[in-house]
Amino acid sequence: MNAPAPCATTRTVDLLARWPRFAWLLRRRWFPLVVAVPLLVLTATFVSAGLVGTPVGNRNGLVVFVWILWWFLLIAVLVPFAARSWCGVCPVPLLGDWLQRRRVLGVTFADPRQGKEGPGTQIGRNRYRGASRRWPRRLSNLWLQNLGFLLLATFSVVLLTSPLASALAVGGMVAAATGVALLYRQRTFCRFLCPVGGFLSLYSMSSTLALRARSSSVCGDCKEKSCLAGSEQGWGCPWLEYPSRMARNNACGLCLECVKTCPHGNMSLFVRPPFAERRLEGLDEAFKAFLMLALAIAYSVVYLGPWGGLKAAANVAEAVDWRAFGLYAGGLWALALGVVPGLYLAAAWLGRRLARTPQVPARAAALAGASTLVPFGLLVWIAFSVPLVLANGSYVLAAGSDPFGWGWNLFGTAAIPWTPVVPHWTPWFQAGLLLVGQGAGLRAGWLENRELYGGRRRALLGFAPTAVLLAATALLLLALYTG
Amino acid sequence: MRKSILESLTAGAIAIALVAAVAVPLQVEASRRHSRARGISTIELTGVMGQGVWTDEAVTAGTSWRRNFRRATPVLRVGQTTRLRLASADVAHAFSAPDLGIDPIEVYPGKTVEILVTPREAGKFEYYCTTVCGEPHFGMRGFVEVAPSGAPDGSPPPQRPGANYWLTPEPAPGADGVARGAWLYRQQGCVTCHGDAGAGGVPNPNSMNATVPELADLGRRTFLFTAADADALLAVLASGQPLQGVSEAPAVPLFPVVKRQYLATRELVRDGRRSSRLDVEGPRPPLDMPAWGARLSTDEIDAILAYLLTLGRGNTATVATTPGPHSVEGDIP
Repeated sequence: MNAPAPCATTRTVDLLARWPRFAWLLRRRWFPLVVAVPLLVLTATFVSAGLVGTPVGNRNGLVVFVWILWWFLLIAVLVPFAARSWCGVCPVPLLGDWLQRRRVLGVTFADPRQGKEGPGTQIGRNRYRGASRRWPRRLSNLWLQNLGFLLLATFSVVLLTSPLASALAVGGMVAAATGVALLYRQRTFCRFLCPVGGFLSLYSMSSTLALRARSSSVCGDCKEKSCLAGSEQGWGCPWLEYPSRMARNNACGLCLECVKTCPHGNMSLFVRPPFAERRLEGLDEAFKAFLMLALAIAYSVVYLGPWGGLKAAANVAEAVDWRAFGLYAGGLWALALGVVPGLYLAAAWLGRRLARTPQVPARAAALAGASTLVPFGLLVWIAFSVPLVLANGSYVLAAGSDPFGWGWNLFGTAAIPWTPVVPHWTPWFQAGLLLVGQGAGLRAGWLENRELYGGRRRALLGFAPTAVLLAATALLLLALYTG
Repeated sequence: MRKSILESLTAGAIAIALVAAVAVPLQVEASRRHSRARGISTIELTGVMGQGVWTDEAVTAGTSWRRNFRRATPVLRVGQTTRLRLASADVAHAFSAPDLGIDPIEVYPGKTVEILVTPREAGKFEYYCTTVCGEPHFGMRGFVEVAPSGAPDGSPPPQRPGANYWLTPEPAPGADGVARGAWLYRQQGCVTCHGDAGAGGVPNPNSMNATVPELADLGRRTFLFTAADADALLAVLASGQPLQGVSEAPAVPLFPVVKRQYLATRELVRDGRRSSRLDVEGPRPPLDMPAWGARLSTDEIDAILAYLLTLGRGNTATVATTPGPHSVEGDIP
């Protein structure tokens, strides 16, 4: 079961109550824009580097900053400890936001009681330009994000080595987000289309940070519902959520609009224990968990394994061997959409049979099984990312001083040679992370299954196959990481 | 009203920052690239391993996918200092123009190296890459033209053998060892240094011969003085028996000597060899024999040697060159 709202538990810390200055900061209209705009400017610079800078990936600012620094910070720091805070400062949707809102700092407030005339579309108490269509209900899930991420992942080696491919990917994301913002309302792109947003949605469930209402009774008595409808102080939730009723982190982009709009100051940020949320609500989320685990395994094999031929096959831009790439891509898709989901679904099915509980819906058993992969998958991704940053982090210093690879030395660090950091410790870090992930995954799966099956014995039988499979997956990765 | 002004100012500042983020780096680089500080012009040469060229065209992330970068023929002027800005688009290279006095300069990907060159003699001076950088490495060569007036003389630079050698089509299946050796000799790039039909001739200053050795006389150096002698040894090799294990071959005169010499040559190809200095106090010769053992099997090395043994023994004159009287200043930080 999902953890209750933080306000109802004793193991949470209300950050805004504890630090009033932090609360003041979060309620300014210029926050988090003051972070997002410099990131947008940096992104523009790096995309330029991806177009006109050096073609050498490890010397190009775009490749180095996005795929080494940003990726590591995102998966190993922000998601575990700050949920989807990246979404709150992400530069990709900013242009679309501004085109929709025709405001950078301010808010277009239009009281619906005074008529709906005027330019744009009235949504709640705010007005937006653009078509502001509703996103189709049947696509209001993670499936498109799953597909988009798998597509990007298929070309990951190309993205990681080719600045041009990275520039096209980042530029394409900005263009797509802007285009979607002109057609559909608010942050439709971020919520249903952004390939990165999909896994942030899943893994933010494990985060120690959550935005929630302090008191559900205050929300129940609230007449304005400004968090949803907007107010003079801010926009209605751009993520199409009802913030006061949020019980999971999945769809909260931490844009902080609800913190600004709530007339009762009832929305706050809470620090909570890790892995607090477990419940998956649909097969789209379960498949996101399967997909992410499959990709983490595949990446570990391709990037960290000793098989150079596999890496060459994946790097179609350099090798231009479409047959080998086709085999690689086919294998990747089969693993992500067939093998891993098949194994975990089969384990859940087997558990349901062992528990002799035909009354338990197969779908619920599958979701309970997949819940193990939320914390485990996150830790596997961190374990995969640790060696990348330890081995290649020194490139960040060099590329930071010369982001275009033109021979600049802005900060005096351009000549720093490639210096792997504690490479002999890396397998130990990875092993530790895998163990933590396995423990958290087993705990999450056990709690979900116990609730699903009711009795302790039935839950044990129901969860056993998934637990064995999880252990086997962890052992496989451990063998790969430690050689 | 005040809010509206603040809004406009913020939007304007963001727009300016975005334009500046793109335009400023481009402008800074353009002005640096085309600066003629102290009257020194700059020529940028970028090593592109995938195509086996040093090019003077701009190789950026956005253009690196092209497959037709022009091979550079930089034009310098006698007595005039030019800045050569060396870069790599892919892997580590080394740029050397020995007759211009440019010793091998290592060029690492994503880093630029600048040198100042002041030629004192007109002519066409060969340059090449001296780090085995990849399959088309041996094609990374060309000529620097030094013109007395600053204008090129219009005559095309000399052609070196083996253009696009790595694309040489493979012989039909079933081709004999000699035909396969002829193909390997070209396709692996041996031809680019040792010349068509083993004629040699590429300058390698301060090496014993001042050029890369010719190979057309390999038969004679292996004590195979007639075509029949060579054919007899080839027959022994074609029998499939390892040469080390063959103690007698009546058809091959002086077989023990021939065998020892042949195996030594094979070992040299397999393990490579540093070029010896003619003048021990002088600079190290820029070109060494690479070790092919990691790339070619023993059978493939045998096929190449078989091809070379079938070549005529006519001596091809070597082009003796000496280090040119040019001044080169080192890397400018």
